[in-house]
Amino acid sequence: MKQIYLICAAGISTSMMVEKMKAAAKEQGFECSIQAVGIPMAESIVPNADCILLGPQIRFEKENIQSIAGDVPLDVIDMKDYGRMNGAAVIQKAKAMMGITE
Amino acid sequence: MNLLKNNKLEEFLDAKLIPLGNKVSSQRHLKAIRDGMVAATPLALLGGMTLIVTSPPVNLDIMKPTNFIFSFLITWKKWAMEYGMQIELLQRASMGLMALFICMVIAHSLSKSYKMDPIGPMIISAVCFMIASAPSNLGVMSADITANMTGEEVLANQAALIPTGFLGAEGIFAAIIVALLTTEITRILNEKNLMIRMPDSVPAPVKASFASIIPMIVNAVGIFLISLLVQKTSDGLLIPELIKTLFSPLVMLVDSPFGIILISIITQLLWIVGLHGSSIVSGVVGAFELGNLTANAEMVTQGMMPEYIYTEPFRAFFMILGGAGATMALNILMLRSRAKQLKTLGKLAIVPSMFNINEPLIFGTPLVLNPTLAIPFILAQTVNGILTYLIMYFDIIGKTFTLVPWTTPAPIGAALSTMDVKAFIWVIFLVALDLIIWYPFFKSYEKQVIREEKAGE
Repeated sequence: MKQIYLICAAGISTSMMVEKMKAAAKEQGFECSIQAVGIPMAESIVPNADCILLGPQIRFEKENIQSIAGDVPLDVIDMKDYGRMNGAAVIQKAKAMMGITE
Repeated sequence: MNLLKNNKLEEFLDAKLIPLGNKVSSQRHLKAIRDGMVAATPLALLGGMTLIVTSPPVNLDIMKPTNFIFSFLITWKKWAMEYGMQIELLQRASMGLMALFICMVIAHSLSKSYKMDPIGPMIISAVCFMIASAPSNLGVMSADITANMTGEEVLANQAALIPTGFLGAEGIFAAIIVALLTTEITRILNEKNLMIRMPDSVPAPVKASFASIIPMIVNAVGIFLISLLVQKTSDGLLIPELIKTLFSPLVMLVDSPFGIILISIITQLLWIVGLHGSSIVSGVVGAFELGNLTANAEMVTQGMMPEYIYTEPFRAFFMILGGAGATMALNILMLRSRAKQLKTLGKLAIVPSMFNINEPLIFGTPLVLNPTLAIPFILAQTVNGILTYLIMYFDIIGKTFTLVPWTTPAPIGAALSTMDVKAFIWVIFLVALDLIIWYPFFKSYEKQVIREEKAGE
């Protein structure tokens, strides 16, 4: 099963996003595990991650986290999708990053 | 939409500010200091909870047991007066030794960033910090001595007494400097190959313990000599006292209306381009916020009034009501908005707002690069800060001295962190004031949104 991680400063606002993404994934019948963590945890999640998404407010951390993450696909969530908590759009993005096409 | 119009500006600001944020967040010394402060949070929370239990908001001279709540409070106060000292052990062993733990975590984080084995530098930094900040002495607790004891019996009570005055808030700056300095010295010694090397057949942990022998001696003896020198030349000042004196102008600047305005504006300018302002700024001011709060807590345990105004709970519960930018007021206005999208967003965001989480508002409204709403986004929390500074300065409401998690709803967090019920009412008043500040700007933005919604239909 694909493991998707969301990272923000303390892992709180991303955890709201996670709930919306889970609902969207279920609707699409896409089985995956989605979790939110804070920046200090970034290092420890990398070995299990298939996809890492950053909250737009910590996009300045992208370089640092990419350097730990190596080949794991990593990107920043679009600001509008984040503000509207658009779970479906972010799941779509995660799928595309992991090369999953229907 | 505003976002589209501002694409050029956004690109320009991103190009300038992302490297800045990246630099602050990845600069290894700043990152180590931030890690130290993060690690100290549970210590401050335990200490804060202890102080909440032992500091009931009661003045026995004024309050009489006229009703159930008052009798409860009076019983609580009397209980706290009797057992408070004992219970506050939980505070003394956590918050009270905070600088020591901060020192160790900073050394750990910094040495890891150099890919060194962190155990050695961590222990070295702790030893050096104790040498600099808590010069222990052989002594006997005079309370344990009675008149008819023999000399031998007195000696049996002898112990090394460790003064703890600089192991808490007073020692935070010293902890930072000792941790960074000793770890750098250890790293340089390692690079110059000045360490005892063992053959490859020796197990790794044994090798590591030998490797830190020379850095340990160099650092500990070095700090000891510096400490003696400082004491000789300054009439007995310890290193942390000296460092504290050097830092005091900065501490005073941060704990002033000017400092509060400056911090507030910088944080909000970062948020306006959609960057996590407080997480970037706390790399620099986090040590002050935590240091001031811990110093206040220590004053309260000693029966004194807290002294510092600007602390972490001050920012969290008196300035940024509803999240960065004091957006609780904005959220309330949205709930009654005639613009469909603002009303929908308001409903989605109101529950997180109560817990001071407002990313949906920041990115959904959006407040990012929104020229119409930029002014209240900066102004409201700054006004909250200045007014609260004034009423705390004149002791109309109490100052903060306990750490409550920043996700606590603001009025409750404000009351718990000051143990002053008046703070609860004050925060409600501030939200009402914020409504007035946000209102005209919100109305103007709402008009734009309604126009766009109509055009889209």
